[in-house]
Amino acid sequence: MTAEWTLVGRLARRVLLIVVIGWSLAMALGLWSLAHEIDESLDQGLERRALYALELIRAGVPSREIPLGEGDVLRVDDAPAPWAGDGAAGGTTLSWHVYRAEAAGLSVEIGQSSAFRREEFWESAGAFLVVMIPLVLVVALTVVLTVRGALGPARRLAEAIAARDAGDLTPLSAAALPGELRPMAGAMNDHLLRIARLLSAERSFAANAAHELRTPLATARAETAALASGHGTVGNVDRALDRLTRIVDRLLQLARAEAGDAARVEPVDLVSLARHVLAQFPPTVAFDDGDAPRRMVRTDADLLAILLRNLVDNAIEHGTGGVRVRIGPGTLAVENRAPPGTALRTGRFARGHASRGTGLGLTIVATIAQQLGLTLESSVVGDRVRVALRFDGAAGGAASAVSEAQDC
Amino acid sequence: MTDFSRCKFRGLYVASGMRILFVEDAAELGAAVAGHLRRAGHAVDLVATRDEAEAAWDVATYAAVLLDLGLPDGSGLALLRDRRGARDATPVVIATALDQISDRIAGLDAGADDYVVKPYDPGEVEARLRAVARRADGLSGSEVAVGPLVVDRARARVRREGVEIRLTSREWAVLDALISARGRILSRAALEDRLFAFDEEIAGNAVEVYISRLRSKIGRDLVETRRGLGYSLP
Repeated sequence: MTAEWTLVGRLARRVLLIVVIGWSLAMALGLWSLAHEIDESLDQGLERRALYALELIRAGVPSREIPLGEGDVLRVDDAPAPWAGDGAAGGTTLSWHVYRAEAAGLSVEIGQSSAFRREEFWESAGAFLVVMIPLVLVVALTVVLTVRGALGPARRLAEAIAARDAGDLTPLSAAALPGELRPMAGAMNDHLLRIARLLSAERSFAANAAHELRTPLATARAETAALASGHGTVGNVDRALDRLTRIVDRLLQLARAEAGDAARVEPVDLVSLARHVLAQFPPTVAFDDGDAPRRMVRTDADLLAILLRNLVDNAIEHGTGGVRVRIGPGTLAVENRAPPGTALRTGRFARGHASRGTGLGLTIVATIAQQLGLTLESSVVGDRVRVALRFDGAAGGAASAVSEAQDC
Repeated sequence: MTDFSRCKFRGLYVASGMRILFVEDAAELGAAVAGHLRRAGHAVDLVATRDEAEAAWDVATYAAVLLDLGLPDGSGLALLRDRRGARDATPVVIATALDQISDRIAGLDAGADDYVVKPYDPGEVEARLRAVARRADGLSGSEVAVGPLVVDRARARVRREGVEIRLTSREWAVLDALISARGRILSRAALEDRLFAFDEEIAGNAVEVYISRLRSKIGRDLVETRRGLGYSLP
């Protein structure tokens, strides 16, 4: 887990950084031009005072009485001075700014040290910094407050979710949310919907299961009682247990079918899957792979296997004679013969009066077919019943088009 | 769905007992099934954990192992993979509550010889243990040798030197018919009848097509052509 971070903190830091960098750049530019201006105006003053001093000296005023500006040093003729050379026509050495005025063999130089000028410059620059510091603080505060306010809806959304009851699965209202948060609320609502569906499937499953198990349990109990009193046969108990086993199997399959959101869609070889499923049936169930060594479909192998098992079970239970499982291009079909007047019942726990089945088989088949996005086609023509699964054209479903691979 | 194997094996070999390792952590179920196997004449070592199973498997030679997958100290599947990785070929029947087809395929891929799902019939489990033990000894009841091939007619499987050859159901139908008529000549019309079972309409040269495909998969010389009469297997 990484250290905790907040949007407010991150945004405030970035905005401040940008403001400080921008301000510094602007200030550097300003100071550079300020330095330039200061030099220029001081140079002009220097020139003016040098010319004036020349006039005064020519008029005989002693050099110590000549008025000078702040930081000025005066040199008359070749008197010693802190700068080197004669600074002809004014100029700048490394540490002095010097202006020279000449007339009739007389020369006057006035110089200003660079250190003096730097001092002048920093005095003016200080004003910039004094303005900048409070400005940065004001920007920081504004950013933090604004961002915090803008993120209010996110905080309120989290509070609304946190305040919910465990059983409250009603959708969140997205009306008052900003555009950025709507997808989040939408995803949360989808998730809530899935949970609600799973919960209700589980509830109805538990209720149905308990109900459906009562009769065979009662039968088994009656048969054991009969056995204990010396009547009855072990075979009867065995049959009751077989029936219980079958119902538990189907209920488990139904539960898996209804929780189909967990479907794991991957490439599945129909031929190999059908062989594995049919290996669990007696060899009277014939298999026709349509002469293809492989038929790849994208689907959930476990759910498809449950579906196929139920179709074959159903055909064996209700049909007469052999059952044939046939794989064709994009189809998986179960064919059998059945007494005239046969109808396919798909309602949950729906079964004919004479049926020995659980009444769940075709419900499981229909549920899985829907979960996997398969088309289920059934036809009863005379005494021939055919139930076919279609894998192609299942747009938007979990299964997609069939591809064939020939390997010889 | 399992009556077939039960009918076939029950009562046939009851006289010969096997030494069986039974790995099952549910005590009541273990005792009941072990009791059944013992009454059927087998010597059963019942263990409840993966560690105990490994210890027993290391010191004794078993004719077959009946293996539960969800053990308290590890997965039976991992145990099986370890054993197969160490080139141990002891026949193994997995007996588990995991009933999904992907569990079954994973079990068989890990090297199990058979796979039964709880709740199972002890009689059926016993029959399957016998079947895998017999197959390990040589050919099981439903297997025949055809030249270099081992053909399991009940499971519709063909192996050559342990490697499975995949046949389509029509190719298998032709091979199965030839095996049924082994030593005799099978007419083209008889083979056509077999193929009619798949399609009402078949091409005029269908028999030749499937014989040729079969030859390319199982070996050129195995199917003999008797000109004008039909085909035969040696």
